[in-house]
Amino acid sequence: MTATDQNIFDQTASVIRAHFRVDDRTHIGPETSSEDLPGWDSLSHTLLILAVEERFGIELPPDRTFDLENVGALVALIGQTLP
Amino acid sequence: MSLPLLIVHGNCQTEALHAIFQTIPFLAERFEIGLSSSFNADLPNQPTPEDAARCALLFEQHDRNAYPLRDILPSSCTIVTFPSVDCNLLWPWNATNPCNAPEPPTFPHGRFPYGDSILNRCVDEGLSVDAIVKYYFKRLWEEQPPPMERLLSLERARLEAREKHCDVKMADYFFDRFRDTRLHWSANHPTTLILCELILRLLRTVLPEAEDMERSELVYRVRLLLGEPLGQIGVPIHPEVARALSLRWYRERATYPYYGSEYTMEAYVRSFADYAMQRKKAFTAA
Repeated sequence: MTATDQNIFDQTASVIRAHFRVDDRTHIGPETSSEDLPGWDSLSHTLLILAVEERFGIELPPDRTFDLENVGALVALIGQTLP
Repeated sequence: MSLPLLIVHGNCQTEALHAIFQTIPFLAERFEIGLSSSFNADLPNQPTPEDAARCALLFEQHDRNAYPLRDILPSSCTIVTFPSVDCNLLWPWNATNPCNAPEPPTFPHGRFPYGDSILNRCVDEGLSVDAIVKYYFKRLWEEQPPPMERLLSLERARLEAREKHCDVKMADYFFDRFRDTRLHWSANHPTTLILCELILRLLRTVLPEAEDMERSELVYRVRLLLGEPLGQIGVPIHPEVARALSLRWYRERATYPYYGSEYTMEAYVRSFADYAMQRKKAFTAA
Protein backbone atom coordinates (compact mmCIF):
# COMPACT_ATOMS: atom_id res chain seq x y z
CA MET A 1 0.00 0.00 0.00
CA THR A 2 1.47 3.38 -0.98
CA ALA A 3 1.42 6.36 1.37
CA THR A 4 -1.44 7.81 -0.67
CA ASP A 5 -3.40 4.57 -0.48
CA GLN A 6 -2.75 4.40 3.25
CA ASN A 7 -3.98 7.95 3.66
CA ILE A 8 -7.16 7.20 1.70
CA PHE A 9 -7.69 4.07 3.75
CA ASP A 10 -7.20 5.89 7.05
CA GLN A 11 -9.65 8.63 6.11
CA THR A 12 -12.19 6.10 4.81
CA ALA A 13 -11.92 4.03 7.97
CA SER A 14 -12.42 7.20 10.00
CA VAL A 15 -15.60 8.01 8.06
CA ILE A 16 -16.86 4.45 8.53
CA ARG A 17 -16.15 4.57 12.28
CA ALA A 18 -18.04 7.82 12.65
CA HIS A 19 -20.90 6.75 10.41
CA PHE A 20 -21.55 3.43 12.14
CA ARG A 21 -20.28 4.61 15.53
CA VAL A 22 -17.68 1.87 15.59
CA ASP A 23 -15.32 2.02 18.58
CA ASP A 24 -11.55 1.79 18.29
CA ARG A 25 -11.51 -1.78 19.56
CA THR A 26 -13.26 -2.98 16.43
CA HIS A 27 -10.83 -3.75 13.63
CA ILE A 28 -11.49 -2.16 10.26
CA GLY A 29 -9.24 -3.37 7.45
CA PRO A 30 -9.40 -3.59 3.67
CA GLU A 31 -11.09 -6.96 4.04
CA THR A 32 -13.87 -5.60 6.28
CA SER A 33 -17.26 -5.92 4.59
CA SER A 34 -20.79 -4.82 5.35
CA GLU A 35 -21.44 -8.13 7.06
CA ASP A 36 -18.76 -7.34 9.66
CA LEU A 37 -20.24 -4.09 10.93
CA PRO A 38 -23.67 -3.86 12.57
CA GLY A 39 -25.90 -1.39 10.78
CA TRP A 40 -24.06 -1.51 7.44
CA ASP A 41 -26.84 -2.49 5.09
CA SER A 42 -28.04 -1.39 1.68
CA LEU A 43 -29.82 1.64 3.13
CA SER A 44 -26.99 2.91 5.27
CA HIS A 45 -24.48 2.27 2.47
CA THR A 46 -25.95 5.15 0.45
CA LEU A 47 -25.50 7.57 3.34
CA LEU A 48 -21.99 6.23 3.96
CA ILE A 49 -21.15 6.98 0.33
CA LEU A 50 -22.43 10.54 0.80
CA ALA A 51 -20.22 10.91 3.87
CA VAL A 52 -17.20 9.55 1.98
CA GLU A 53 -17.85 11.91 -0.93
CA GLU A 54 -18.06 14.85 1.44
CA ARG A 55 -14.79 13.89 3.15
CA PHE A 56 -12.85 13.57 -0.12
CA GLY A 57 -14.73 16.24 -2.11
CA ILE A 58 -15.57 13.86 -4.94
CA GLU A 59 -18.53 12.11 -6.54
CA LEU A 60 -18.10 8.36 -6.90
CA PRO A 61 -19.53 6.74 -10.04
CA PRO A 62 -22.99 5.51 -8.94
CA ASP A 63 -22.90 2.44 -11.18
CA ARG A 64 -19.80 1.18 -9.35
CA THR A 65 -20.79 2.16 -5.84
CA PHE A 66 -23.29 -0.49 -4.89
CA ASP A 67 -21.48 -3.71 -5.73
CA LEU A 68 -18.36 -3.06 -3.67
CA GLU A 69 -17.19 -6.14 -1.82
CA ASN A 70 -15.35 -4.56 1.06
CA VAL A 71 -13.57 -1.50 2.44
CA GLY A 72 -10.56 -2.22 0.22
CA ALA A 73 -12.73 -2.00 -2.89
CA LEU A 74 -14.22 1.28 -1.66
CA VAL A 75 -10.73 2.68 -1.02
CA ALA A 76 -9.64 1.61 -4.52
CA LEU A 77 -12.67 3.30 -6.08
CA ILE A 78 -11.95 6.49 -4.15
CA GLY A 79 -8.33 6.37 -5.35
CA GLN A 80 -9.45 5.98 -8.96
CA THR A 81 -11.93 8.86 -8.63
CA LEU A 82 -9.65 11.38 -6.93
CA PRO A 83 -8.18 13.91 -9.36
CA MET B 1 -55.26 -33.28 1.17
CA SER B 2 -53.00 -30.36 2.06
CA LEU B 3 -52.67 -27.33 -0.15
CA PRO B 4 -49.44 -26.54 -1.97
CA LEU B 5 -47.16 -24.32 0.05
CA LEU B 6 -46.26 -20.75 -0.84
CA ILE B 7 -43.34 -19.38 1.18
CA VAL B 8 -42.42 -15.72 1.34
CA HIS B 9 -38.87 -15.06 2.57
CA GLY B 10 -37.28 -11.78 3.56
CA ASN B 11 -37.09 -8.99 6.11
CA CYS B 12 -39.83 -7.40 8.22
CA GLN B 13 -41.63 -6.28 5.05
CA THR B 14 -42.37 -9.90 4.23
CA GLU B 15 -44.29 -10.24 7.51
CA ALA B 16 -46.68 -7.66 6.07
CA LEU B 17 -46.72 -9.42 2.69
CA HIS B 18 -47.54 -12.68 4.47
CA ALA B 19 -50.43 -11.04 6.33
CA ILE B 20 -51.75 -9.44 3.14
CA PHE B 21 -51.50 -12.68 1.14
CA GLN B 22 -53.87 -14.26 3.63
CA THR B 23 -56.52 -11.64 2.90
CA ILE B 24 -56.57 -12.46 -0.84
CA PRO B 25 -59.31 -15.06 -1.31
CA PHE B 26 -58.02 -16.90 -4.38
CA LEU B 27 -54.55 -17.12 -2.90
CA ALA B 28 -55.72 -18.38 0.50
CA GLU B 29 -57.91 -20.98 -1.24
CA ARG B 30 -55.12 -22.20 -3.47
CA PHE B 31 -52.08 -22.13 -1.16
CA GLU B 32 -51.00 -22.67 2.39
CA ILE B 33 -48.96 -19.54 3.01
CA GLY B 34 -45.75 -19.67 5.03
CA LEU B 35 -43.33 -17.01 6.23
CA SER B 36 -39.54 -17.29 6.44
CA SER B 37 -37.62 -14.50 8.14
CA SER B 38 -34.24 -13.48 6.73
CA PHE B 39 -33.24 -11.65 9.90
CA ASN B 40 -34.75 -13.62 12.76
CA ALA B 41 -34.58 -17.39 12.44
CA ASP B 42 -36.00 -17.67 15.96
CA LEU B 43 -39.44 -16.46 14.93
CA PRO B 44 -42.07 -19.11 15.57
CA ASN B 45 -43.42 -21.23 12.71
CA GLN B 46 -40.42 -20.82 10.41
CA PRO B 47 -40.65 -23.29 7.51
CA THR B 48 -39.00 -26.61 8.26
CA PRO B 49 -37.03 -28.74 5.78
CA GLU B 50 -40.22 -30.78 5.34
CA ASP B 51 -42.06 -27.59 4.40
CA ALA B 52 -39.35 -26.61 1.94
CA ALA B 53 -39.56 -30.03 0.31
CA ARG B 54 -43.22 -29.42 -0.57
CA CYS B 55 -42.93 -25.76 -1.47
CA ALA B 56 -44.62 -24.97 -4.80
CA LEU B 57 -43.92 -21.24 -4.92
CA LEU B 58 -41.16 -19.23 -3.22
CA PHE B 59 -41.27 -15.44 -3.18
CA GLU B 60 -37.73 -14.61 -2.13
CA GLN B 61 -36.59 -11.11 -1.25
CA HIS B 62 -33.11 -10.37 -2.57
CA ASP B 63 -31.11 -10.21 0.65
CA ARG B 64 -27.68 -11.06 1.98
CA ASN B 65 -29.48 -13.76 3.96
CA ALA B 66 -30.91 -15.87 1.14
CA TYR B 67 -33.59 -18.48 1.72
CA PRO B 68 -31.61 -21.08 3.67
CA LEU B 69 -33.42 -24.19 2.44
CA ARG B 70 -33.09 -23.58 -1.30
CA ASP B 71 -31.24 -26.88 -1.78
CA ILE B 72 -34.25 -28.81 -0.49
CA LEU B 73 -36.83 -27.14 -2.70
CA PRO B 74 -38.41 -29.51 -5.24
CA SER B 75 -37.36 -28.97 -8.84
CA SER B 76 -40.95 -28.04 -9.65
CA CYS B 77 -40.91 -25.10 -7.23
CA THR B 78 -41.23 -21.70 -8.89
CA ILE B 79 -38.97 -19.02 -7.41
CA VAL B 80 -39.69 -15.31 -7.87
CA THR B 81 -37.19 -12.81 -6.48
CA PHE B 82 -38.08 -9.26 -5.47
CA PRO B 83 -36.39 -6.26 -3.83
CA SER B 84 -36.86 -4.81 -0.39
CA VAL B 85 -38.97 -1.67 -0.78
CA ASP B 86 -36.87 0.79 1.19
CA CYS B 87 -35.83 4.41 0.79
CA ASN B 88 -33.31 6.85 2.23
CA LEU B 89 -34.55 9.87 0.34
CA LEU B 90 -36.97 11.27 2.90
CA TRP B 91 -34.54 10.83 5.79
CA PRO B 92 -31.09 11.99 4.66
CA TRP B 93 -29.76 11.76 8.23
CA ASN B 94 -31.05 8.26 8.90
CA ALA B 95 -28.61 6.50 11.22
CA THR B 96 -28.26 3.97 13.97
CA ASN B 97 -29.59 5.30 17.26
CA PRO B 98 -26.95 4.48 19.89
CA CYS B 99 -29.35 5.43 22.68
CA ASN B 100 -32.10 3.05 21.64
CA ALA B 101 -32.66 -0.18 23.55
CA PRO B 102 -35.46 -2.76 23.48
CA GLU B 103 -38.03 -2.30 26.25
CA PRO B 104 -40.40 -5.24 25.87
CA PRO B 105 -43.31 -5.67 25.90
CA THR B 106 -44.30 -2.06 25.13
CA PHE B 107 -41.30 -1.13 22.97
CA PRO B 108 -39.80 -4.40 21.70
CA HIS B 109 -37.64 -2.49 19.19
CA GLY B 110 -36.93 0.38 21.57
CA ARG B 111 -38.61 3.77 21.83
CA PHE B 112 -36.68 5.32 18.96
CA PRO B 113 -35.50 2.56 16.61
CA TYR B 114 -34.69 5.10 13.89
CA GLY B 115 -31.70 7.29 14.61
CA ASP B 116 -30.72 10.61 13.12
CA SER B 117 -27.06 11.52 12.68
CA ILE B 118 -27.73 15.22 13.33
CA LEU B 119 -29.64 14.54 16.56
CA ASN B 120 -26.99 12.02 17.60
CA ARG B 121 -24.30 14.65 17.13
CA CYS B 122 -26.26 17.31 19.02
CA VAL B 123 -26.74 14.93 21.96
CA ASP B 124 -23.03 14.04 21.88
CA GLU B 125 -22.17 17.73 22.02
CA GLY B 126 -24.33 18.15 25.12
CA LEU B 127 -26.80 20.66 23.69
CA SER B 128 -30.01 21.21 25.64
CA VAL B 129 -33.29 19.91 24.24
CA ASP B 130 -34.40 23.45 23.38
CA ALA B 131 -31.10 24.17 21.64
CA ILE B 132 -31.36 20.93 19.66
CA VAL B 133 -34.88 21.73 18.50
CA LYS B 134 -33.86 25.26 17.55
CA TYR B 135 -30.81 24.07 15.62
CA TYR B 136 -32.68 21.25 13.88
CA PHE B 137 -35.46 23.45 12.55
CA LYS B 138 -33.84 26.88 12.24
CA ARG B 139 -30.13 26.54 11.48
CA LEU B 140 -29.39 23.06 10.23
CA TRP B 141 -30.50 23.60 6.64
CA GLU B 142 -28.65 26.90 6.34
CA GLU B 143 -25.44 25.59 7.83
CA GLN B 144 -25.31 22.01 6.59
CA PRO B 145 -27.86 21.19 3.88
CA PRO B 146 -27.65 17.59 2.70
CA PRO B 147 -26.89 17.14 -1.02
CA MET B 148 -30.43 16.11 -1.96
CA GLU B 149 -29.86 15.91 -5.72
CA ARG B 150 -26.86 13.68 -5.15
CA LEU B 151 -28.82 11.55 -2.70
CA LEU B 152 -31.56 11.19 -5.31
CA SER B 153 -29.15 9.92 -7.95
CA LEU B 154 -27.43 7.57 -5.51
CA GLU B 155 -30.77 6.14 -4.36
CA ARG B 156 -31.77 5.56 -7.96
CA ALA B 157 -28.47 3.77 -8.57
CA ARG B 158 -28.85 1.73 -5.38
CA LEU B 159 -32.35 0.50 -6.20
CA GLU B 160 -31.46 -0.24 -9.81
CA ALA B 161 -28.29 -2.11 -8.82
CA ARG B 162 -30.28 -4.29 -6.45
CA GLU B 163 -33.05 -4.92 -8.95
CA LYS B 164 -30.60 -6.35 -11.44
CA HIS B 165 -30.80 -9.44 -9.22
CA CYS B 166 -34.62 -9.52 -9.04
CA ASP B 167 -37.44 -10.84 -11.22
CA VAL B 168 -39.84 -8.17 -9.95
CA LYS B 169 -38.77 -4.51 -10.13
CA MET B 170 -40.13 -1.65 -8.01
CA ALA B 171 -37.79 1.31 -8.56
CA ASP B 172 -39.85 2.65 -11.47
CA TYR B 173 -42.99 2.71 -9.31
CA PHE B 174 -41.19 4.46 -6.47
CA PHE B 175 -39.49 7.17 -8.52
CA ASP B 176 -42.65 7.85 -10.54
CA ARG B 177 -44.79 8.41 -7.45
CA PHE B 178 -42.87 9.38 -4.33
CA ARG B 179 -43.54 13.09 -4.93
CA ASP B 180 -47.30 12.58 -5.26
CA THR B 181 -48.08 10.15 -2.49
CA ARG B 182 -46.65 8.81 0.72
CA LEU B 183 -44.91 5.48 0.06
CA HIS B 184 -42.90 5.02 3.26
CA TRP B 185 -43.44 5.41 7.00
CA SER B 186 -39.74 5.07 7.65
CA ALA B 187 -36.66 4.15 5.66
CA ASN B 188 -37.42 0.44 5.76
CA HIS B 189 -41.19 0.40 6.31
CA PRO B 190 -43.34 1.00 3.22
CA THR B 191 -46.98 2.02 3.23
CA THR B 192 -49.85 -0.26 2.25
CA LEU B 193 -50.05 1.42 -1.15
CA ILE B 194 -46.60 0.37 -2.36
CA LEU B 195 -46.83 -3.00 -0.61
CA CYS B 196 -50.00 -3.72 -2.63
CA GLU B 197 -48.22 -2.78 -5.85
CA LEU B 198 -45.41 -5.17 -4.96
CA ILE B 199 -47.95 -7.90 -4.29
CA LEU B 200 -49.69 -7.34 -7.61
CA ARG B 201 -46.38 -7.49 -9.46
CA LEU B 202 -45.34 -10.65 -7.60
CA LEU B 203 -48.61 -12.47 -8.21
CA ARG B 204 -48.87 -11.43 -11.84
CA THR B 205 -45.52 -13.01 -12.64
CA VAL B 206 -46.86 -16.50 -11.92
CA LEU B 207 -50.61 -16.60 -11.29
CA PRO B 208 -53.04 -15.81 -14.14
CA GLU B 209 -55.83 -15.15 -11.62
CA ALA B 210 -53.94 -12.07 -10.45
CA GLU B 211 -54.40 -10.36 -13.80
CA ASP B 212 -58.01 -9.67 -12.82
CA MET B 213 -57.16 -8.15 -9.45
CA GLU B 214 -58.02 -4.48 -9.14
CA ARG B 215 -55.29 -2.39 -7.52
CA SER B 216 -57.72 -0.04 -5.79
CA GLU B 217 -59.81 -2.92 -4.45
CA LEU B 218 -56.73 -4.63 -3.02
CA VAL B 219 -55.57 -1.43 -1.33
CA TYR B 220 -59.05 -0.82 0.06
CA ARG B 221 -59.35 -4.36 1.42
CA VAL B 222 -55.91 -4.32 3.01
CA ARG B 223 -56.53 -0.95 4.64
CA LEU B 224 -59.87 -2.20 5.92
CA LEU B 225 -58.55 -5.50 7.30
CA LEU B 226 -54.99 -4.64 8.28
CA GLY B 227 -54.68 -0.86 8.14
CA GLU B 228 -51.05 0.02 7.69
CA PRO B 229 -49.24 -3.14 8.78
CA LEU B 230 -45.86 -1.37 8.88
CA GLY B 231 -47.13 1.98 10.11
CA GLN B 232 -46.53 1.69 13.86
CA ILE B 233 -43.99 4.50 13.65
CA GLY B 234 -44.02 7.26 11.08
CA VAL B 235 -40.63 8.94 11.17
CA PRO B 236 -41.19 12.67 10.67
CA ILE B 237 -39.87 14.30 7.52
CA HIS B 238 -37.96 17.56 7.84
CA PRO B 239 -39.85 20.39 6.09
CA GLU B 240 -36.77 21.44 4.13
CA VAL B 241 -36.31 17.87 2.86
CA ALA B 242 -39.92 17.90 1.70
CA ARG B 243 -39.36 21.23 -0.06
CA ALA B 244 -36.14 20.06 -1.69
CA LEU B 245 -37.86 16.95 -3.02
CA SER B 246 -41.09 18.79 -3.95
CA LEU B 247 -43.25 16.35 -1.99
CA ARG B 248 -46.75 17.42 -3.00
CA TRP B 249 -48.49 15.28 -0.37
CA TYR B 250 -46.43 16.69 2.51
CA ARG B 251 -48.06 18.85 5.18
CA GLU B 252 -45.75 20.66 7.56
CA ARG B 253 -48.22 20.47 10.45
CA ALA B 254 -49.00 16.79 9.94
CA THR B 255 -48.80 14.36 12.81
CA TYR B 256 -47.05 11.00 12.62
CA PRO B 257 -48.09 7.67 14.11
CA TYR B 258 -46.04 6.54 17.07
CA TYR B 259 -47.02 3.29 18.77
CA GLY B 260 -50.73 4.10 18.78
CA SER B 261 -50.53 7.85 19.38
CA GLU B 262 -49.65 10.78 17.14
CA TYR B 263 -46.72 13.18 17.30
CA THR B 264 -45.91 16.41 15.53
CA MET B 265 -42.38 16.55 14.18
CA GLU B 266 -41.27 19.01 16.82
CA ALA B 267 -42.68 16.83 19.61
CA TYR B 268 -40.92 13.81 18.12
CA VAL B 269 -37.56 15.59 17.93
CA ARG B 270 -37.99 16.94 21.46
CA SER B 271 -38.86 13.49 22.84
CA PHE B 272 -36.02 11.87 20.91
CA ALA B 273 -33.46 14.32 22.27
CA ASP B 274 -34.83 14.17 25.80
CA TYR B 275 -34.81 10.37 25.83
CA ALA B 276 -31.31 10.18 24.33
CA MET B 277 -29.99 12.52 27.00
CA GLN B 278 -31.62 10.55 29.80
CA ARG B 279 -30.11 7.33 28.46
CA LYS B 280 -26.71 8.93 28.12
CA LYS B 281 -26.81 10.27 31.69
CA ALA B 282 -27.89 6.86 33.01
CA PHE B 283 -25.08 5.17 31.07
CA THR B 284 -22.49 7.66 32.34
CA ALA B 285 -23.69 7.27 35.95
CA ALA B 286 -23.50 3.48 35.68
